[in-house]
Amino acid sequence: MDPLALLCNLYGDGPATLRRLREAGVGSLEAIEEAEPERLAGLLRTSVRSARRFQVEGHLLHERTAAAVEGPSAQRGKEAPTDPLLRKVLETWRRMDAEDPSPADEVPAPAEPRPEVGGPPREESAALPGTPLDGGCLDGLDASTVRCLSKAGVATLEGLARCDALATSRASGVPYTHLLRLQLLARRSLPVRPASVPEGAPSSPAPSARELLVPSPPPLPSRPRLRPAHLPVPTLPQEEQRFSPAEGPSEPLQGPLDPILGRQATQADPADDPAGGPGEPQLGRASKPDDPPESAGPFA
Amino acid sequence: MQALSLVNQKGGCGKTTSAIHLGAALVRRGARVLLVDLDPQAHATLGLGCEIESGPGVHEVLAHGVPAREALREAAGGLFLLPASARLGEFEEAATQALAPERRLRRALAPLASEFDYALCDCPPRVDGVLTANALAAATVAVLVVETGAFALQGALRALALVEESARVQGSRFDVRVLATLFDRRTRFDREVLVALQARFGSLLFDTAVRRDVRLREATACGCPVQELAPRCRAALDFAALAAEVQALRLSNGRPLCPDDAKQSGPVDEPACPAPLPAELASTARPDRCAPLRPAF
Repeated sequence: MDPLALLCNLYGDGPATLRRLREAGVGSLEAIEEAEPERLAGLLRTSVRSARRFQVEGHLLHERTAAAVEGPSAQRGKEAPTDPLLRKVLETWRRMDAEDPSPADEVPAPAEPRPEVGGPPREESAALPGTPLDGGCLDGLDASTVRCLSKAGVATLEGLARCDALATSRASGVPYTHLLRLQLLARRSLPVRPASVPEGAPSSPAPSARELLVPSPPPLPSRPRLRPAHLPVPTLPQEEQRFSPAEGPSEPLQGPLDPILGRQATQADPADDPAGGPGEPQLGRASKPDDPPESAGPFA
Repeated sequence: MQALSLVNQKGGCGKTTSAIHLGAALVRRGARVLLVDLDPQAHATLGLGCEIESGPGVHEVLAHGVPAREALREAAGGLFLLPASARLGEFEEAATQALAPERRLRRALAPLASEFDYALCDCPPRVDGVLTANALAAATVAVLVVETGAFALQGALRALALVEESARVQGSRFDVRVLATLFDRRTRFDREVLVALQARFGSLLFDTAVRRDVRLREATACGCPVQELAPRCRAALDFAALAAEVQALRLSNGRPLCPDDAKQSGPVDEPACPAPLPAELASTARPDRCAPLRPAF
């Protein structure tokens, strides 16, 4: 399948889009990137905005396929990304690093943003201390698969959980869908906070490109605040304080005697009234005077 | 005549659907197409609106030596059909006692070689049976039909290994192409699987990925190709593009059927050494191999 055909299948109208593009002389992903968005929109029969998005997807696919051809070493050796978005993100990070020499300097800052698609498996995933992969630690992970993965640089459970599935599949020869399943199992088996995070690392993850470029709204408080913080918390008077029915009233309340039971109606029997105490409105159950007692049973 | 055998050991991946609608699309492009239903479930026969058990079919051709011309039927969409029946399953058992049973279809189709441009063989969902072996022995192109779903690559590699084994044992020569079906571009998983298929198979993968379309199911229920039911739907457009690709195929290994093939009683054009698969597939046909395949682009 031609990469342009792949792009048309993924983000276009399949063979119809492919035929129109080829008839117009746009026969490769490079030509897609170089085409004017207005002209491309006419060919795709979409809006200019959709045509720009098509170009971005074509660019990403082109990078992905180029990475597959050049190999992981060539991809790692790239110093200056050509994508203006990536350049902008890198400049922003460098500027932030220069302005804020915080204790986060001890943590190695990422040299380049995490690629969204494609890219080789990260080497540090194998270098970090973690649970080593061995046959049988995951369902479907046998010794030969472990060997193939270790050849591709994935030697730990953490590395397997974080590696790029497609690139690792290409490098190791493990089928893609099988690797996806193993990755899912590896993620499940890891704790919520991975143990491989070095001490002193900031608790929040590194900002993504979207977070850096798009102004995000102010974060919502984790718990809704009911009253301003500077106001004192009001306290209820002692006699109105509520108590839990399990504990019972702290002091016996005085009230009229129940004519039927011959005891104080306010003294709640836990078997009869487990939901609330005296004077307490019962939640979830309507208190009707005609209701039969619960202990009466169906044959009463 | 070029014979395309649509194979995969997995059921429900679109072999029968692709055979019917690709055949109809080829007919619309002016080709003469014969559809051979080798599946004992006879879904291609039913999908073209033909009745089963109403005359001689593939079973009689293979098991009893009935001439294929007598079993031919005209079907919807301008196709000609060699129908299947439930008795076709018996041929699998009877073939164990026959001599070179996997060559019978090629010999049977040879007299029709000058009357048709394409023969599409719809195979049963197993690769190691004698029916699929017949289809591969007659094939000039083995089309591996792969659904863009879970375990697609794994199943495709396993099927390719079996196809390679079959070609090695029989000494058959055919080209291999991969067709992605049931593609739904709205789901990220399908998109990733298609990218993975492209990375693995490269130029062997057809440019057209057949998209999922409800019209295909409706057409099957109506007993006609989708080109007759909804000629403007996306499935019809996909199969039209696929037919154009099939017509533009350049064979590198497969040898078209010719009438002389009918005279050979033994294995046809037995090569001195087993026919090698294309170099791109040599490292991928065995799932246990770990060497990465360099993408074709």
